Amino acid sequence: MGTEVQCTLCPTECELENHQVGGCKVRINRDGTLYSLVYGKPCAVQVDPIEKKPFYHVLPGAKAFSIATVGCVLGCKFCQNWQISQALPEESEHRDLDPDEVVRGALYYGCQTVTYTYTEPTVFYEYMYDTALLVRKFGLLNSVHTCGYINQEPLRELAPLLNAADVDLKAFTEDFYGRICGGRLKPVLEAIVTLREMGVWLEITNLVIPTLNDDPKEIRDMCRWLVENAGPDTPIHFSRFFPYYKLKNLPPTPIETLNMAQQTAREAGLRYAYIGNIRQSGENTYCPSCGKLLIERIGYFVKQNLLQEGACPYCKSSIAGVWDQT
Amino acid sequence: MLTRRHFITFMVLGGLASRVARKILGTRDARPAMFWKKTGVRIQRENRNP
Repeated sequence: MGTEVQCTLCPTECELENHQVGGCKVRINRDGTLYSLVYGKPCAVQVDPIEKKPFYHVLPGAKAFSIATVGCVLGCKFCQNWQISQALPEESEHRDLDPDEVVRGALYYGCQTVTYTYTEPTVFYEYMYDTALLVRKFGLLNSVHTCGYINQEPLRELAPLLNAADVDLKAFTEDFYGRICGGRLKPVLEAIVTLREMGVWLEITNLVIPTLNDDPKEIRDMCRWLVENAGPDTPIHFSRFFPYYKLKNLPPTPIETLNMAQQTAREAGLRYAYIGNIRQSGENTYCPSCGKLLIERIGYFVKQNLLQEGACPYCKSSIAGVWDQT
Repeated sequence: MLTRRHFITFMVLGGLASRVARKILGTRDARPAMFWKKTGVRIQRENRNP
């Protein structure tokens, strides 16, 4: 029998000859067995406010013990973390941190959640999975910021351990995913539907890039699809683009474009549309029923949280989200 | 007094220790992945459900 293997973790499904590394740079075929090169080797370990992920409807003001290893299943030309997402394991500085040490760290720093973030958590699936099991046992929440480029089988095995997922929906055209990210849109949409079906709290992030995915019609189509398939209570974060990595020729997203995207999302039926990567009132949560301010944010910090048991204190409407740790 | 026999013994023991260390570090270096298959053969994966 040959030693060729095929990775089935992400939709790229790399076929690897002996000693060949996958497109994610962190999975290698050694003599007919596929190995992860980044298990227990995070290159980034940090305590962040949960708003930085961004999660605006999950434990406002909570501390998130955030970890990432190098590697990514996509190769987005606008990646804001390309120094680690596109790095090789042997090039990067990392810490040795087993899953039990992650949990110990989260408890030590008083974090309510462990977040798998910064790069693409799918590439360190085994590490994330083992950590998530322990995190659950110790009564903390598991949250993930992902591009959603993962096959259905691994996603369905992981989802029961997740409390919240923020999916980067980078655009709403296959052309964008193919040309700019080196992937496909369809598996991402399927992942969003699956996460929703399996009861994981879902938030969406869309980095608005001038000339590439800022067409109002595309944004409207994306928001309508989200209303139909993820529900109108799914928060969406329109994030401001800054020229990084291979897209340094484009300007930062104009504020008017972000305002247009937010307005379009509201018109399409999404109740919670936010603007991120920029300081303005677009970061606040308002009651969709009475329009009163519920959570005021400044940057990543919560200035005031008026929610009472997950409901508006004025009109008593229930606000969707994960508001307590149970 | 160090003799040629001492040298040879150290070399052999050093070589063995190095092999053992590489074996241990090699195991730590990489962990078997969960979702993959031998090309054209059934899916091989470790079920980690508790």
